[in-house]
Parts: sequence; C-alpha cells; structure tokens
Amino acid sequence: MQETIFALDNVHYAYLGKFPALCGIDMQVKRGEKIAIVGANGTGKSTLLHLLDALIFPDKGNIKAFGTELDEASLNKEEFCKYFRSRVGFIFQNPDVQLFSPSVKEDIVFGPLQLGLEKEVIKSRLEELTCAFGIEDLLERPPHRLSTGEKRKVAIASVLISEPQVVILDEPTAGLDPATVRQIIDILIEYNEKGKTIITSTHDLHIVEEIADTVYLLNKEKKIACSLHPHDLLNNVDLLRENNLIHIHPHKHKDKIHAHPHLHLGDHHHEEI
Amino acid sequence: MPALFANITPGEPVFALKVFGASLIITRPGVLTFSLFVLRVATSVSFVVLLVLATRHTHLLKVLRVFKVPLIFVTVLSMCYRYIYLFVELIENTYLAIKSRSIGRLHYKKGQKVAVLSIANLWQRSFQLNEEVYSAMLSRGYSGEPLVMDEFKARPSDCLWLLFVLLFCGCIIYLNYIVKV
Repeated sequence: MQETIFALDNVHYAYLGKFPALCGIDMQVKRGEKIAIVGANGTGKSTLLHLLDALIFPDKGNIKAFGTELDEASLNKEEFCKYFRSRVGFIFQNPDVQLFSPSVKEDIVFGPLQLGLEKEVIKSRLEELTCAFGIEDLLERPPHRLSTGEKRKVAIASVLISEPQVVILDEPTAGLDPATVRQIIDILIEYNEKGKTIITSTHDLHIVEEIADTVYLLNKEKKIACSLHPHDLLNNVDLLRENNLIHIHPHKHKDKIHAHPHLHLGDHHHEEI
Repeated sequence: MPALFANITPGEPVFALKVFGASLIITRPGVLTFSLFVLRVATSVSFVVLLVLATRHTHLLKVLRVFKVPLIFVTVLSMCYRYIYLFVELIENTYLAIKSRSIGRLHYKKGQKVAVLSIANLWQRSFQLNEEVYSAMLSRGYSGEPLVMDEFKARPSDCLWLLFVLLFCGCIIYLNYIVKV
C-alpha cells in the first residue's frame, strides 16, 4: 500500500480571519502520485498549496504530513522542520519571489545549503541540473536580468536540487512560450517517474492529462467539487463550464463561423449550443 | 570651504572681500589645503565608481564577507540590490499606466495626488513581496542564519596583482616622503 504523504481533514482557512479562502477541504495524497488542482481564479488553489507547504496553517481542521500534524508547534521543532523542508519543495507562482539571491547559482544552491547538504554533493547536483535544464550560461547572471521562462526554470531547479519527495507547483506554466512549457512538463514527468509526488495547481487544461493522474476541482464555494481522472474531467463540459474553465466565443471552422463552449486544445470538444 | 579663509588657515593672503563689513581673506595655504581635500575626495569617489563599474556586484558582496562584515548584513544588502530592480520596473510601469490614461499635462495638485497614491501602492507591494520572499526562504529550509557557498579563492594571478598594487602603493608613499612640494 502506498504511503500517505498528506492527509487533509475538513481544512478551513480565512485571510485576516474574515475572508474565507478554503471551506472544508478533505484530501489525501499518496507517495508517487501526480495531482493537479484546478479551479477558477479565487477558488483557493494557491492557499491550499501554501497550507501543504506549511507556510500558513489551517484555522479549523487538520493537515498531516508524513504522519505528523502540520502546525506551528511541529514546525518550530528544528528536527521536524528540517525533515519536512527537505522532503517538500514549493515552486511559487511568481519566480521573482523565489529568486532573491544576487546570482542564479547562489539561488539554486540556497536550499540545499540551508538543509545542510555536503558541498560536494551540491556541486555535483548543480552541474547535473543546470545541464538538464540548459541553464549553464545563466549561473553567474543576476536573476532580475533573466526572461520569465529562464526565471521559471531557475526557480524549478532551485527546488529540485534538494531532491524533495514532494514537489508543489503553483501555476508553473503561466505566461510561458510553448517550448518552455513542454520542457517544464518533461522535467516534471521525469521527476515523477523517479517515484516523487507532484502536486500542481493550474488553469492550463492542455497539460492536465500529462501532469496528473487525479484532478481536484475547486469550486466557488472554496471546496473540492470533485476529484476525477483528467480524461473524465476534460470530457465533462457542463462541469468545466460551471467552474469557468471553458468559455464560449465565435470562431471559424473552414468557412463556418459559430460559437460553442470549448477547450483550447488541439482537438476541442464540439457540443453545439 | 572654511579652510580657505584666514580664520581657519592663516597665511599669505591671495584674495580679500568684505561681506556686511566683515573681511573674508582667502590665504595661499588655505587654497592648497582646500585643493588637496577636493582632489582626495574626487580620487576616492573615482576609485569607488571604477570599482563598482569594473567588478561584479556579487564579487563585491563576497569581498564584504572577506572583511568579516556579518553575513546577515551582506544578505540583506544583496536582497536590497536585487529587489531595487523589481521596484524600479514597478515604478516605470505605474508611470506608463498613468501616462497612458492622462490627457495633456497634469495639474500639479493632481500630480501630487498621483505621486502619493503611487508611493502608497509601492509601499504595499513591497510589504507583500517581503512576506512572500520570506515564505520562499522558509520553504527552502531557511532558519534564521543564511548559509552561503564560499568559493571565493585567490588565484595566482590575483596574488600577482595584489603584489603589484602593494609595490605601487609603497612607491607612492616613499615618493611622497622624498619629493616635497
């Protein structure tokens, strides 16, 4: 039986105690799973990821990670904190938040240095990762001089260098060109094939089938509307429409202009309205 | 400036003027002291500018560590340097957004209001960013004391250059003693 990495039980969270962001989340994440969290803007995807990375803590309900309850008390214990941080990596939505060091190289090695990895191990992983990501030339450059795609790759490298068991990604492909999106997906798939757990929040339904075995859909009530296989979700047009994940606009097919709800996939759904 | 005048540096008068009945006399030793001071300041500033332009800021920050400046201070300084660029970009974008929605010249009162709102917005964004960056540091295992990879080692060419600089400085000091102006 697969080990449970995260177990969420009736988790509630509100910003400043009065703006609800999550209302009763139940969820289980097993080792080696690929999970996607989808939902319209403001449904609490990022908040859920921040909770999973123990950057914030639930107002009500509880979260268990690796069998231990995640709360301020447990994270204040140095031993557990180090254990948890070395096993869970978080890639923020805004790479500028994550790249705070004066050079790309220092940013990438920041995590493993804090976690106490041997310098020789860090150097060898750095070489391996930069080669795999094709960012060898960027190492001495300051992060603010990089393009968005480069920043995103560096941010992912800065987390993967610690080889965490779980990687949490907040909209990793937002605003990237198709080639960079492809490269990032390939990296994530390869990482998952090593037995690591991947949890991704995204709006991008193109990539869901590749990066997830299970998709959790968050609705406007800030609850999990359902958890489905990606194929089942993508075929459920009513559910997608209800949750603002597909839209209607006129477009052309050969010489015929018509409007119907569709996904922007290569082979989109044709359900005439 | 006061060093120019006879009250501070007495000596042979070069120039005299009267201001509200009081006489101000500029002396020859005063002019020499003033010129020496200005030249020293200009030289120091030039060297600092040259150093900043010719050396990567990452190396300058590492040099601070060599001089035993506390790591937390160097880290804060490096992060300030890093995020200044982000804020400059933010200010530029805010300015362009205002410009794209303004017709003609703004009345100065309106301009003041816009400037105040922009400053408030920048403050709010920087506060938000500060929290997010701290979360990103925590997420990667930061526990209050930043650790860095110290790979800054002197190479033979650096030692040769240092030797040359020391000799050069030694020669200047020696010449300063034997050649009297």
